This record gives sequence, structure tokens and C-alpha cells, in this order.
Amino acid sequence: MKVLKALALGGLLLTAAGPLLMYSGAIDIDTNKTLMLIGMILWFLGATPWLGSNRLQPTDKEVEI
Amino acid sequence: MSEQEHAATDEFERTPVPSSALKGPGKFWGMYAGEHTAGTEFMIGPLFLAAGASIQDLILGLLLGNVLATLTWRFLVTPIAMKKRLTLYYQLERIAGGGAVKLYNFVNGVLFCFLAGAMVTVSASAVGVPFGVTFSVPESWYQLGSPAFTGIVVVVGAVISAIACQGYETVARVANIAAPWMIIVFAACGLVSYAQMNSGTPFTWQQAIDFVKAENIAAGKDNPDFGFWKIVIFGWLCNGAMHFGMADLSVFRFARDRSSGWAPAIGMFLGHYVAWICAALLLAAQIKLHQDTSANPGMLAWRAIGGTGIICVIIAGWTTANPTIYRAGLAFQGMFPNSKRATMTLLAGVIATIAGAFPTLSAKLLDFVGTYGTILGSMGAVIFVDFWLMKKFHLRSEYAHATGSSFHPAVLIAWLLPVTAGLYLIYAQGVFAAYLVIPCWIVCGLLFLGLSLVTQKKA
Repeated sequence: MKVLKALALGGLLLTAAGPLLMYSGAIDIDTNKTLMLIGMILWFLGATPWLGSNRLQPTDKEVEI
Repeated sequence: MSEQEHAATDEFERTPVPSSALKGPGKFWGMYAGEHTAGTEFMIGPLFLAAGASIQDLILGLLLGNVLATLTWRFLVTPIAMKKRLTLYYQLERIAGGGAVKLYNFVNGVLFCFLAGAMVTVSASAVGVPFGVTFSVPESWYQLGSPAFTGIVVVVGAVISAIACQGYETVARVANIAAPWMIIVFAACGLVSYAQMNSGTPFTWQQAIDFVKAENIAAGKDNPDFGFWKIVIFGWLCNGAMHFGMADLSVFRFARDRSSGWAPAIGMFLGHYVAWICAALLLAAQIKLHQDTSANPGMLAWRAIGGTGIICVIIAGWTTANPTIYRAGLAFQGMFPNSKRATMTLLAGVIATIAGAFPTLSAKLLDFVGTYGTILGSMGAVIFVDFWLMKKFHLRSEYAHATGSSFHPAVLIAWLLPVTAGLYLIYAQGVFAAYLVIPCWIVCGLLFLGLSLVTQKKA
């Protein structure tokens, strides 16, 4: 599980880092898009078995806007 | 019994939540953070810019509106929820009778279908991008988008409805997994858009508004006015059904501590502040780079952050539409107890898909959300009066339960009269819907108290 968590958090970090690097002018928009895509894949690979196994709460089916 | 021993599906629909099933504040902060960073945010944010709201008014107005919304949850909903520990529906049933609750539930279900319809449109807007299919908002409410876009809406609606028929668990898990990532993606949209606005020749928010206004004038349309107080009221009351309307009694009945009542603050400030402003910046950047004022969530996200944006909009729309269709199905099943839940969910899905095929619905989301709060929010006044005032006026609380009545007319009259007047003002007089949430709530409460004084004393 530790590996999965690290994978997911790495993905989240990459998703956040891309726009920050683009904002600072270090990378262009296309590189940012690629970084965010990789970050997304890593997040879902790691977070699905990690967070997906959490018990659902009765409040999960309430609708909020 | 420990908290662990309660099954996840223990919902305590008709009994008070036992102390062993109560949750600490962390669960509520997590839930509100995820629930309010959703598909609606992609649609609502850009609509502020399209309506001509200045960035100063937006930043300050939403700040004040969100503070007021949080206070309403904390001081109006949480005390009643923690004292009674019952769902809104069961509390209403005890006050108004089972028949009245069925009617309320049915209205709720129909409104849920329209909300889900707008989310189907949002998801379809993202699905269409890779196929080069975008939607433009027609002039009329009753006009479909292009045939290709309508086809995508039908496919997306069918998939969402089929999944909703299976229940809410799978999608709730997907929503829980996606929530932290989605919050980052919203922030990324804002940051990328802001960088795009400032690259080369700087482009300001005001220039974006001027562009929208010039386009409206060229098209012979009126320029809407969306000032500070309108933003405050919208920010405060767009969730009117959940706080003034007491729908979130169903959430806070599980609260162990009163401090849980502050948890909506995270939903308001991540979802209804950061996400809305970031989504609005998407439109500003699009106007600069493409001279395109259409608030098409899929295209906006695609242009800023590429494939990640497409996936985020699809998930955001889907995870909002799915539980909404599921809850609408339950509401319809409540009207027809012999029907199957899956059949009623499918019916809700069909209505949502038809609604989603009319893109004007999603473009009018600011008005729809206000109307939703006006209709359902008023009923919260009945709960408030029953809880706080009945005994002070020497009246019987939970009257229907005490008398065995299935239809307490005082509740229905008190609810329907102000709501009918409110709907007249919205649709015939053009009053901004969110303005009517509190007036209708107050009138409903006063009418309920007055009618109870008359009817209970006669009885």
C-alpha cells in the first residue's frame, strides 16, 4: 500500500507542478498538458486501490450542488 | 456496537442515528471538500464572466456569500440535526404526513432530473471534443443542440442511467478517488488560464467582459447586470435547498460534534470560490486566445489543460449526475411503492437525458439553482418552526405523527402558496431566482405557524 500511496501522491504532485512550472515560464503549455496527463494516470493507478477500498459513508449518496 | 460494526449501508432512514454510528468532524470536512468540487462548478464559474460580473465583485461577493452559507449550515441545520438525528424526509413525514412527503419528494425528484440533465450536458460537452462536436446554446429553451451533440447526449445519458440503475456505490467510490485530484485540476485550470492571459500582450478580466458585452450588443441582446449583492445572494443561496431547506439534516444527523457544522466551509471555499473563479478564468483565457465566448466546459478545459481537462469534466459531470439520478429514482419509487427502483431510476435517467439535450438548461444554471432553492428551501421553514416555535406557542410539534394524519394541510398550504408566488415572480416578472429563497422561506414559516394556530386549536 505504501508504494501505491507514493505513486498516487507523486501523480498529484506532478499534476500540480506542471501548471506552476508553466506559470513561472519554465515549460510551455504542451509540456504542461503532458505532465498533467502522466500525473493523472499515476494518481488513478495509485489511488484506486488505496482510496477505493475505503468504506463508503451513508452521506456519500447525498446530493450537493 | 462500535462504529466499525455498522455496515456502510446502515442509513437509519426511520430511526435516530445511534451514538455508536456518529462520525467525527474529519468525515464531514472530507465529504464537503469532495462534493462541492463537481460538474456544476465547470458550468457556473464561466457563467459569472458571461453575465458581466467584475473580478472585484466576484472575489468579495463570493467571500461574503460563502461565509453566510457556512453560518447558515452551522447555526440553522446542525443544531436541529444533532438534536433529532433524523433525515429530512422522516422529520417531514412526522410533521406533514406521508402523503405530503411523497409530493415533496416527487417535486424534489423532478428537479433532480433537471440538475442531472445539466450535468449530462457538461459531460457530453467533454465527450464531444475529440470528435469535433461542440454545443452552442440556442436562443430558445426548447431548441436542441446540433444533431451530433444530441446524439452524444443520448449516449452519455444512457450510460449514466444504466450505471445509476446499479446503485450509487461504484460511482461514489470513483467520486471519492477523483476528489483530491479534481481539486488540483481546478486550481491548475485557473493557474494555466491566468498564465495565458498574462503571456504576450496582457489581457484583463475587464477586457473579457467588454468583449462579451460587445458581442451581446452586436447580436442585439441585452447585457445582464451581475453586481456585488447579486453575487453575495447567489453564493449564499445557491445551496438553499441544502441549508435553508434542511436537506443536509440527512448529513449532519451523523455529527458527533457541533464543530462538524463548520465543514461546509471547505466545500464553499474550494468549490464555490476557488473552483468557480478558476473555471471563470478558463473563459477569460479562451476569449483572449480564440475570441470565443461560449461557456462549453469540455472545450474550455481541453484548450487549457488538454486530455486531463476532458477526463476531469467527464468525471465531474458523471459523478454529479449519477447520484442525482439515483436519488430521483428513489423519489419516484416513493410515489409508486410497488414499482422497482431500477425502473424508476431508468425513468429518471430518461428525463435527465431529455433535459440534457436542451443546452439552454445548463446555460441557465444560475437561474435553475436559484429556482431549486426557492422551491425546496421553503420547506425547511416548516422544520424550523416545528422544532423551535411550536412548543413556545403551546402547539403540538410533529402534528401528523401525533394525530396519525397522512396529509397535514397547514404544511402544504404554507409551502405551496409562497412557492407559487415565487415561481410567478421568477418566470412572469423576471426576478432573479436566488432573491426569492429567503422571502419564500420566511412566508412559509409564518404561514405554517399561523395555520397551525388555527387548525390545531380547532382540532
